[in-house]
Amino acid sequence: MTKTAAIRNGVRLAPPPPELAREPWVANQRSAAWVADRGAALAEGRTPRWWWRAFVPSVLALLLLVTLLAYQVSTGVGVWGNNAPVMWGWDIVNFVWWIGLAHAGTLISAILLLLRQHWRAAVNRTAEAMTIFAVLCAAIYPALHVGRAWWDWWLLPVPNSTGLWPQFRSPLIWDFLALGTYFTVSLLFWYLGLVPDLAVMRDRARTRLRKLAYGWFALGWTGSNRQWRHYQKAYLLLAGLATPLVLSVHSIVSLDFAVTQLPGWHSTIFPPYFVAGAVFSGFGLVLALVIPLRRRCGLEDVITQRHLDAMCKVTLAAGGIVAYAYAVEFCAAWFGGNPDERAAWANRIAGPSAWAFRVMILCNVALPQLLWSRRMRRQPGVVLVVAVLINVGMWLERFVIIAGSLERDFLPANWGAFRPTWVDIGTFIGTFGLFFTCFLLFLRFLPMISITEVKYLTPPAAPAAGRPTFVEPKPTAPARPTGFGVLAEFATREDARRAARRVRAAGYRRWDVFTPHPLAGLDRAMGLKPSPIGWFAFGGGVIGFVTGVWLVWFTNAVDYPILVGGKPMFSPVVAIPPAFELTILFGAIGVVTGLLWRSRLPCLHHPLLHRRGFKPLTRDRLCLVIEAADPKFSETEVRQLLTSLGGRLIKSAGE
Amino acid sequence: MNPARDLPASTPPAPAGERRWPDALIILGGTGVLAGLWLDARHAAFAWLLAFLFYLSLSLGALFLVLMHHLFDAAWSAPLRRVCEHLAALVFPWLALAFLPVAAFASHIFGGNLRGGSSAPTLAAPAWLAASAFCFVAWWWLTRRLRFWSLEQDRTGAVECVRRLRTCSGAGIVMLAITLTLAAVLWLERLTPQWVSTVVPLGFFAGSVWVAVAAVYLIALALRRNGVLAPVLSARQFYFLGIVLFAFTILHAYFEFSQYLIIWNANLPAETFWFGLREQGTWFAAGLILVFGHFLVPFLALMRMDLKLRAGWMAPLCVWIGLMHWLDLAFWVQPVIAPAGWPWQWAWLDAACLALLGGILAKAFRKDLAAHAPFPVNDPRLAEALAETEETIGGLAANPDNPE
Repeated sequence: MTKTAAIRNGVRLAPPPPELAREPWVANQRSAAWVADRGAALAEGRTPRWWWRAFVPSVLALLLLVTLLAYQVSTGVGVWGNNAPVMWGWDIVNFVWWIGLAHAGTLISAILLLLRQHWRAAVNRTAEAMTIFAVLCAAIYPALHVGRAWWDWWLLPVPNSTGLWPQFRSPLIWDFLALGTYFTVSLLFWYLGLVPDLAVMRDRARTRLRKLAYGWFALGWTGSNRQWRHYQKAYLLLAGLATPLVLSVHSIVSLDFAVTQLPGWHSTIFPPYFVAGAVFSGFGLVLALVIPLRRRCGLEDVITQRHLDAMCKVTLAAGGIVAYAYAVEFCAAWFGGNPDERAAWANRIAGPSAWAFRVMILCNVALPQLLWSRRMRRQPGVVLVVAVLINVGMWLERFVIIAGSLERDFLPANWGAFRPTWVDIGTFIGTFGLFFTCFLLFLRFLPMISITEVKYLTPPAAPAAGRPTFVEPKPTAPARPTGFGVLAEFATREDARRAARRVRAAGYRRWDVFTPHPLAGLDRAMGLKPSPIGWFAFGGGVIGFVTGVWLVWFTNAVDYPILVGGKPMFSPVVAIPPAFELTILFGAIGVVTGLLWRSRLPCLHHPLLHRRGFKPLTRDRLCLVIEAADPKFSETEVRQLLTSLGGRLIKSAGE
Repeated sequence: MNPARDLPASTPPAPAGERRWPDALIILGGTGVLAGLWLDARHAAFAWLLAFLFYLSLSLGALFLVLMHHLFDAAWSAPLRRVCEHLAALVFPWLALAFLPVAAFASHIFGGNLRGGSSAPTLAAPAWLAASAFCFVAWWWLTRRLRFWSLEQDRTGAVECVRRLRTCSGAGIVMLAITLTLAAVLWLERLTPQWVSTVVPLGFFAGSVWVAVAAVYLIALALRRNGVLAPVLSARQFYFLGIVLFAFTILHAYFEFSQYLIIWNANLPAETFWFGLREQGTWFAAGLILVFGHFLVPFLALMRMDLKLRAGWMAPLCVWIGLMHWLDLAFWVQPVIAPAGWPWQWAWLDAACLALLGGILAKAFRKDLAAHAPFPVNDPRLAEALAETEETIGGLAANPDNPE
């Protein structure tokens, strides 16, 4: 950026004073190649000792989980502490807690993408992985708390042996649909983000096994701009679908409580309040994972102080909304004139579980206020402690809401107390084992930062280290094309765009630009039309919505009408949550199908992938290829054209 | 650091015809309001409350946009900041003055709900007045501080101004959360105090920001057309305004739908009566118009990226959004006085109140706009807001940190 004031349209535009200049997202002028090397280091190098030190206890905890779940399934749900009146104890507390943690991943990957917050690039991969594993941990509880886990398939929209369908007026069924959709879409989103990075890993792989494995999952990605064009659109659309989805998931979880009549559960602010709480705890976990990781893996230049600062601000904002919700709920109960609500809150503040409420207020409301201070936000140690305590506080919040409200319902004769059993505690510890086992395996085998996206945040002029030697064009070019085409490499992004404009103007048709990351302005330079993937999403969404409404109507009002609570057999009000989830699910499937189809993936054989000169392309090169199959192709002319545009020729195919 | 010298320091005087429409609104509206007062003071009070809440929400929404600009250290919204500041500053003294009739007619509007009763939760009139006054004092302080340091920045361009603005916004967002909630509780929920729904303030908030963004879009279009903001507005500003509008369309629908779903499903008579009342007569149709007009129409209209930039598409949509927001508030307020159905015979009175208050506020806004530079000339992010990057709108490949 030039440091002098520019005049545009008669407006004097001065650069910001140094105190207000934005810090770069990639510190110390690190280059794209450095990012690729460092991002892939843990997945490629020797297993570090700290990894083993974390992995062994995780696997042991996982074994504990498996053992206890086997014990629970074989003995019965009575091994948990759930008992009248607290029929939802630690199982649902832990379910809500884990599913809440998952939300930060989607927030970082989807919502921050839509908000153009570029810092997401450094942490989104880790956070998305966290989402998927946290959903896995969460899913254990509802699946097993039913007692007879072998009948879980009744949740599927399939009639059972007596022709009975799931009851779509129940939020528990919405929950199942939401969870399934969330897991599927998160997985698709994560995988889609991984594809270009898997191609990087494939091209860097040294062993045959790794090459095959990464190559298989990279789907034959080459990074050509004709692929990037669809990819960007697909990624953005998935983000657009995941954003309302993430709001809906925790909203539906909150409806499990809010649509009942129990004081302390029945409150209309629950959906946004639960979503904010989920983001709050999720960011707590992301911070708690990222702070040690950046140090262990030497990623301080990619996950910078500014990143931590930004994440702390989101945490603070989400915590503010949570505190607001506590205050509004309390005031509404206190001044609203409903004696049951007032009693529920009095019980929270001074009842038998008041300790949990107080610790919760301390962790969720008081402590995060430290993050208002910039100095505190920039001290990883402090942030780590706050982040961990937020998660303690958020666990207690769910405990206060779920067990606390059930302990004291309308009828004093029903009152009781909840005590967890050793199986409850052991299972909860075990879920950490599952989470960390998955997470550590992810760290060890996949790039933990989004190499592709961080590369684009590197300064454009940063010199690439260790360039391999180039094969100069032969003095006498062969008379007829012998291979795939002619490749030329360009030094800067602007050169590549200019070359694209010229090649297009020269009338070539079968050509492409290969870049390690999407390059702004290249679509226009190449004259590419906007990607049609949006229509796939729209089509999928419409099909999903219609299917959802039809399913609810057909199953509950036509095929096996059930009367529940005097409600109408079919109402659009209850059809909306299931139909919404299916809209998102089918929309996302539409996006991925459209992407694969339009960008011709998977492509397990591509002539360029077999060329040595192509290997560094996914790392940090910009390259233009004119294919020999182009009707205008003449090797001599093409070579001349590309050289005259400033391209350095790489050995053409077949030579 | 000097402000741009070759820039118009203020808005050029508008052509005479354009200058006169606020006066016309005031005269027409004033006559109507007087007639209404003479005919039926209670209906006039309700119509005035509705107009007051409509403009109040617009102003508070604009205040929220200013706070967000500073808290996010945003760049794209820098050229529009001054417009938002002026809109927010209307809250004091103008909307505070407009509140005086509401306070004076409080017994007509809120009836026994303020004086106390046996079953309904009550709030004594002095407490209600004190809380209302607190809100206006808070807004007065906040909007004045934000504008003072913003104008100071125009003059000096000192870094200190940015610091002050950010600190002020940090405190401001907490204050706004409290006062906006109070506004919704005191002036909206108090109409039916037996009905308690904790999400109401959030719904009011989402609607406020929604209508404020639509208003800013319209004002930006107008100021681009008459050349005042033309040098500092690019497609990016309009595009992002469109995105925010889209987001708040969904957010508002989300709050309203989840509220309806929770109450519908729990089926407690103490809560469902509120909706039951609004299914009588033409109110049922009004509710359906809100479902489709407040959510579905803007949702579909704002979906496409290219349409968010087209003035011929967006200007009518923004007017529609204003109308829908007004209807949304009317759906709250009017059934209290007209439970049988939409009071068509009083529609002229609603329009008169809107016109009178709108005319006054338009005059005040224009005066403010003309008195100062139309955009913050020394905003440190102005250069970034206007930087010509190869940003593909909606693409991933956009990196303002490394403009090439």
